[in-house]
Amino acid sequence: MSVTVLTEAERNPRSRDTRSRRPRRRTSVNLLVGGVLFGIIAVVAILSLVALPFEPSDTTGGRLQPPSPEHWAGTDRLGRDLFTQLMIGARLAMLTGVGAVAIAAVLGVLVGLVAAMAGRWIDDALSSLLDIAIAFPTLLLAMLVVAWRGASLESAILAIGLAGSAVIARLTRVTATRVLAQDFVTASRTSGTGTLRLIRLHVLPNVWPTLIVPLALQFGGAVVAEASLSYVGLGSPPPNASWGRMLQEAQSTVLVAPTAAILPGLLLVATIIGINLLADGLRDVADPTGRTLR
Amino acid sequence: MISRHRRSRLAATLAATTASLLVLAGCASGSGSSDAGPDANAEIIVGSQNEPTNLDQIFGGSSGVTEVFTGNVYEGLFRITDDAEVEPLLAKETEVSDDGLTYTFTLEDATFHSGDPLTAEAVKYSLERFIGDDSIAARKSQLSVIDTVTAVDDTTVEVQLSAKSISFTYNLGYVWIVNPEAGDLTAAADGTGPYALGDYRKGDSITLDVNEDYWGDAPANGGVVYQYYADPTALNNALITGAVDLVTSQSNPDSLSEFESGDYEIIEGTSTTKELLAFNDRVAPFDDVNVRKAVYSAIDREQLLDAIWDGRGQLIGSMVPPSEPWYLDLADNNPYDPELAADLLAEAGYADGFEFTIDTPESGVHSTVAEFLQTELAKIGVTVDINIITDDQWYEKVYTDHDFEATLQGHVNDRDINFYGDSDFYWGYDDADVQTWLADAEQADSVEQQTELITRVNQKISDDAASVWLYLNPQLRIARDGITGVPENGLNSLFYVYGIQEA
Amino acid sequence: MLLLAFALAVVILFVVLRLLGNPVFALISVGATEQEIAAAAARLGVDRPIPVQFLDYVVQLARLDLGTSFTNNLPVGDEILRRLNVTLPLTLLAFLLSVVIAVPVGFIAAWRSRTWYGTAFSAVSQLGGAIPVFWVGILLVTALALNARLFPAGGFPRSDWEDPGAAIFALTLPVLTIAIVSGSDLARYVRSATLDVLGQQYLRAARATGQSFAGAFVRHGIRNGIVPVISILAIQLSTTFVGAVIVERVFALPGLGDMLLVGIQEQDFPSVQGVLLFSTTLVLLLGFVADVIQRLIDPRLRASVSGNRMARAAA
Repeated sequence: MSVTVLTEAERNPRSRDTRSRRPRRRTSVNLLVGGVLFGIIAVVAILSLVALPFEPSDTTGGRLQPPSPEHWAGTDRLGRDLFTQLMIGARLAMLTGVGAVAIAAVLGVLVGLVAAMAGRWIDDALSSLLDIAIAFPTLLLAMLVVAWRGASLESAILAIGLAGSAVIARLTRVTATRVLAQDFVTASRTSGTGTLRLIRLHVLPNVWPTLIVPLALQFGGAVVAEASLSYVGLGSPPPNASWGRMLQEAQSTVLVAPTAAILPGLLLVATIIGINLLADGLRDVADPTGRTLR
Repeated sequence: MISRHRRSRLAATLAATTASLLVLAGCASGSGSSDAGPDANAEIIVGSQNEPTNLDQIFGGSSGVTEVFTGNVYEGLFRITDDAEVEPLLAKETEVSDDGLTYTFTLEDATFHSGDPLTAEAVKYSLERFIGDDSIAARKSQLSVIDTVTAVDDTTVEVQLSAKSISFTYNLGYVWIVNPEAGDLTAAADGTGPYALGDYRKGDSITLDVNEDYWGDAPANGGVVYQYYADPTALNNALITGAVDLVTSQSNPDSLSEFESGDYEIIEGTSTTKELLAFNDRVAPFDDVNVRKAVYSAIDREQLLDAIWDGRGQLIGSMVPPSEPWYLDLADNNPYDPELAADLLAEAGYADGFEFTIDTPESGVHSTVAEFLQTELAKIGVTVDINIITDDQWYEKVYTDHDFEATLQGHVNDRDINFYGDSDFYWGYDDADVQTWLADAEQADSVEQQTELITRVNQKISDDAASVWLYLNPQLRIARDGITGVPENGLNSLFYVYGIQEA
Repeated sequence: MLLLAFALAVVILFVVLRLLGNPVFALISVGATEQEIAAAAARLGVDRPIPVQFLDYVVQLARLDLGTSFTNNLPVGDEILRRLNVTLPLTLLAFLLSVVIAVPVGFIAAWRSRTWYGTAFSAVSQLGGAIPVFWVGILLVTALALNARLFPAGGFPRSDWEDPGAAIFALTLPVLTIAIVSGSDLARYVRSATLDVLGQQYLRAARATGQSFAGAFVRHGIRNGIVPVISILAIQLSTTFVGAVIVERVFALPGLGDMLLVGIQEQDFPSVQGVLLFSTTLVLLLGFVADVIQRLIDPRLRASVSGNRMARAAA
């Protein structure tokens, strides 16, 4: 589940792994394939804002029709066009990823910085809070958020972002602590540089590179997590349904209308592989020596 | 006992074998029992999605508890048959005083599963428990006409009513007679029925063992297991792979085609579950009859029923399903007619439409219905916002606080038209005539008089479009070939299993 | 630190749950009156002030008592134990299988990264890790249970482990489902760790001293490469345990995940609290054990000041 992917981010921030043996050609293959897969989904998502083959609430397509020249992916129970819903799904997947990652980044960096710069007591308290937050499964957190705010895409994004922020916070804290302990920073501190300036000049520039890959992986993780939430009925309902929700709705008709139970899943997998490969590629580009801060 | 255990293991193995083996095993067991007819020792496995919250009807056990226990483990003084008739059960004889206020019941010679005899004290305890302070039983308010219960002697009970109640015996059909010695019944049971509670595995199953000392006729099977599935697809799969013998309620018409072969029987009965778009009749614009009628006429319910139930089920025009004595065919009383709807809106002063929110419980089909209504009402210029809430939030926000404009709900109870006589009910329909008629009906001297009065209510609430009654759910049960005696109708979730047998 | 984390978990869970809603509304049905709702609240004890309820709960916990369910009054602790009959074997078997899959796949993907099958192994592990676990479940059920009829589509024997064969049989598909996804994840880590080790100076140095590749790898490589893998294993084990929630739903298994989902639906606070507290504690403990093992293997970690947390964050 999602948690896996989220925690992978923190396991592998440096990845010295491949540089020494893997030829650079592979790197660009990763970037290329990932970029193309992800790019296609992104373009579809943007297209869905401009034009859709059908109105999402148009119910004139007939019940559970198989794919046809008119309805490329068939229709659902209410006669709505599934291709239209798949396009909207792409938009929602992007929204989920971007939203969750943004929440995780902002909140995570903030908490991480506070933990790194504050006194030992606050640091310890925050750190054990982060330990619990990381131990606490995304899915359960999401259920609590849903119970509090009601089932919607926003609730899911908020919950996934919150869950991801704990990992980011922990990473930020580690990097920031190291930076702050370095001689030039201590020197700069004693010469009277303000805290905010210190963060802007020395800490953040060193923190961001370590976060790019984990955040990219969290993007994929967020999309999977949202799908899982939708599966247990905690996602956003159609006609603006996410792929996960579409899968859940189609599951009961898998023997009658198999396309609806397969297409959203394939798109999900394509998106996640795309972003994962992109993250691998990015890692190599952003960090060619593999030795940032290590 | 031993043979039952072997059977259940056999069933488990069967579920796991390949299709061909299934056929072979089926043949083998078929030929073994064909001489003796139906197999009275067969354990029937019932698949259901309706797991009770707990096992006590007076403490939130909900309709799931009725499905398992009423008539099977516990019995009432009366029984309500699958055709909605009342017949005596534990009350062998009933005498009613001329003023209709005193009922004297003579009890059958029955024993509880624990071995204790059924006594008048137990009946007194059970009735008082049902209407007691702790009880949140569904029919508590209807039975609150009970003033005193007296155990005259061991087998005679006298009940004094504070007012005449023509549906008293009908309502008693839902009240379990329990053993006072049994204590807390939320996870245990002690009744007089043909089955005793075997195993209770929350989240999984409830096992009913045959009561060998049953006072009436022995059941046609050797025990029943209710196997629960939270997910409708998992339930379907269980039936396909033979893990269950039948399902009590099929909520997804699209998977029916999988069962249309000769290996299964699809049993379509009538339910009492009505899908309602309930307005808050207290607040504008829904305090205006014309607005309510406009909304009603703007909805193509035929298409809705087709989308949700693939043409099964039935269109209704009021709160009353055909199985109740005061039924009238009112399905076209507020016909689907967008032009009429637009005219009615204009008449009410909303020619340009208006906007309102439907509080939609997340469970079941409500959100699909809400989306459909959104599309339909947009055509007459009415904007619908859908607010998805949990079932619990529904009870808090809509049911208790009346903080809503309109909501969707499936009303499962039979004979629940009387809610329109209570102006404090969540939808707040307030009509003096209806209230008088319903009160008089309950005090009626004869069923004819009662029927006549409630029929009037039926017509009136439909004319007023007090709510939008969208459709009546079908009751779809599916049984594996060879399973017979499955009750057809879903009267308030009653499901008597003692007649089910395996050939 | 572990105790502090536990205490925090208790407080957070308790408070968050109470803010969610009133469990009474999960019990009543249409027709209930205000008096009945009040009586039910009193019976559950949720009409008391929250601090009082909390104190009660803490006293109860101190006696190692998780309380009784709001809905059926059964002890939550017993119910958790019963559910573990399903969830524990499911988790452990799935974890074992995923390790068995991941180690060779990951190792070969790294060791032979320039061959076609090395690349294929990498690609498969990428693919497996990208599929939502419930979808794997749906596909497996459709193919192996509904079409081929090789395995049950769901459910668990009512006799629990009385017939171990039937129980294992029922768990086959769920275990496979989890193992495919978490095995792929794990394979990626193993691959990464192996690549890491293969590129290290000490391995070349060892080979220069005349040791065979295998000898050098076993003697030096595994010892170094396994340190990050251990904490990943701990995380994976926790993830598998938690991921079982969804898999249990797909396969209609009466495990802890089902208890949790139903508990949330029925607002049965004692049950939800019990399950969450149990699983959080387990996850924290696993992390702690992983730290200890890591420090036993890698002496460098022993020296670090705040070893426990630093090691995990840096691993």
